[in-house]
Amino acid sequence: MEHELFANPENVSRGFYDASTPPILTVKSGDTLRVHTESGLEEHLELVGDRASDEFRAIIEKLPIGPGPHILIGPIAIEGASPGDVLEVQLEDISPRYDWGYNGFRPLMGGLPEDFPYRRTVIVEIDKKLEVADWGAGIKVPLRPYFGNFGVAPPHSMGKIGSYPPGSWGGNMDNKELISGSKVFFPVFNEQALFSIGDGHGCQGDGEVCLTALECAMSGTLKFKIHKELSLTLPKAETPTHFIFMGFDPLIDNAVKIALRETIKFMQSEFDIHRDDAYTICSLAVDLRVTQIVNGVKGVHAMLPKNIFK
Amino acid sequence: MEFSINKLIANSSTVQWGFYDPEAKPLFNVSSGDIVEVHTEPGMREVDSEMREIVSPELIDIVENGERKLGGHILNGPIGIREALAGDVLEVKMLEILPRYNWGFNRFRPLSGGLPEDFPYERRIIIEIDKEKNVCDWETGVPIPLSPFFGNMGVAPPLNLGKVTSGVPGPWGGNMDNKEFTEGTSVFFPVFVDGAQFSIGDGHGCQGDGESCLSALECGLIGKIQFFLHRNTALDVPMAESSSDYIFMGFDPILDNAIKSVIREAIKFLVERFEMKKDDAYTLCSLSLDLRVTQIVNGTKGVHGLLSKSLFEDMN
Repeated sequence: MEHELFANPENVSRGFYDASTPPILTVKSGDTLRVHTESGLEEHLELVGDRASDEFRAIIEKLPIGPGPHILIGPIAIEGASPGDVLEVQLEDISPRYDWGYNGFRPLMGGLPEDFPYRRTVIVEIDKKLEVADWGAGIKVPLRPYFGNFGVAPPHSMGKIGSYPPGSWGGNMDNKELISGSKVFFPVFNEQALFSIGDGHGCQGDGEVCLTALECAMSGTLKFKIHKELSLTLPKAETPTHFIFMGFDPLIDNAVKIALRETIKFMQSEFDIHRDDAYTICSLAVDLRVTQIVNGVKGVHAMLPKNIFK
Repeated sequence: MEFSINKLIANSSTVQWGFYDPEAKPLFNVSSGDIVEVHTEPGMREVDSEMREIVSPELIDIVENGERKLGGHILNGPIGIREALAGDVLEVKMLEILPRYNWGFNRFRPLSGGLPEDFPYERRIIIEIDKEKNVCDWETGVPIPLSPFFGNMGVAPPLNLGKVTSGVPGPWGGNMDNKEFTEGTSVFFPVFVDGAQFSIGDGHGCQGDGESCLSALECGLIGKIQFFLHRNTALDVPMAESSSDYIFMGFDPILDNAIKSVIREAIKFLVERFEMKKDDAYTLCSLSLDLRVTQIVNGTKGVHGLLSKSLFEDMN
């Protein structure tokens, strides 16, 4: 079955993941869902004026914000999903909704808070035809759209958590590899998984160094699949070319170790490779990348190329 | 213009084994534009019986007659660059890089590597290099494509540092282990002593970003490298330029700190080279700079940032 949701005050969580929030839609394993997300804060609404959609305006005016800033469509119940299962989400046809987005940084946050102890916001023009972003700095940056923030409800015992840090439930992963054509696998912690998604990024470098990417409203198609036979402790992903393993920690040095351990564990279980050989393969062929350094809990992802496995 | 081409083959009298030394005398001098063909050996502290069957007589000569100090890398050099003075920038262009032998090795050992808690033992494997198919293999059924580069190269460090170990990277370059430094890439070094005094070695047949287990596919390499001296520019740490990207580097025992150095280098470059406003440069880094973990295993860890040159096509 096919479903479609346009973000509005009735179907979004503004800034949190919460196992106690009732689902706004129930889908079955195998269903597809087309989502149209919104992005921004009151300051952006003021800056873009008439260019803002009525729904975006209504979300900002009607819904309290917090603990995080992200507008997430959901929660979406996946019928039949139970704790211990794995939820696969396939991503297709991701593209910006509007011709504007924004980037900004503010004091005490971002990758270089010592060097940039002030607030700055720029509205970024999105040229959908040329597929570039431009904010008047003389440089056009190619679009490479994806969703920064999506995941399942965290364990019930965690209560309502901010949408700001990433974790075992996914959340604010800000992983720029998760473009159209990729699949993300999440551990399921609650009955029906309770999936949410938002935080469109028109483009981003590995690191998201200033605090934000090209933040923009985004459309995308998701296909859900429940895997009873799998189990996971952390999200992982797959693109046409790579297996991707993620590590989250306030220190990059620790996140690296987590991502490496996930990669080695996968090669052992999936390809029956001895752990010593898997460690050597990591050294010779696995790329460690800095996902983001700006979400309090930082991220590293390990890219294992598929083509070395015949 | 004709440039002279020198050949420098590693043996016990042509290498610095384990160190960079600001007081070392050059083996020979070259001029800006000259090309040197280096034949390097992988670093090892002893040649055991398994290795003795495959290594070259030159490597045995180095291990038996060379004098190892501080680190383990076997570095061809130093090569003096005529007219280079402290404050200049030395560009070293990788014209061609090929595996020298049909073997290499990988190893890890206790208390080193990316996961010392999980792998508290020593392991070394000999790895076959298939130059024709351009892959390496050690019978895991997972042949890995070659992408050769020199892990360790640099100029002599400042005089007041004295001899430094080849084990760590720093402003002089050294053990950078940056897998982007393949054929076609230019690496730029700040010059600290007269003549720059460049050394190079530590061939890596392939490596992932991170060099997770401690070592890469360690192997002998043949490289054609070209030197250019730049007078009207200055650098604090090395940077590089490939055919597709500008590459900025940060070194620190903690990756989170190395990341900050990289972002600062990238912003400084964007402000100086392209006259961007600092705030716009910061935003551009957020949208386009890719932060990669260069290596986590050299004590001083490394991060590098890749910024696509195509962004600036209209500005150059």
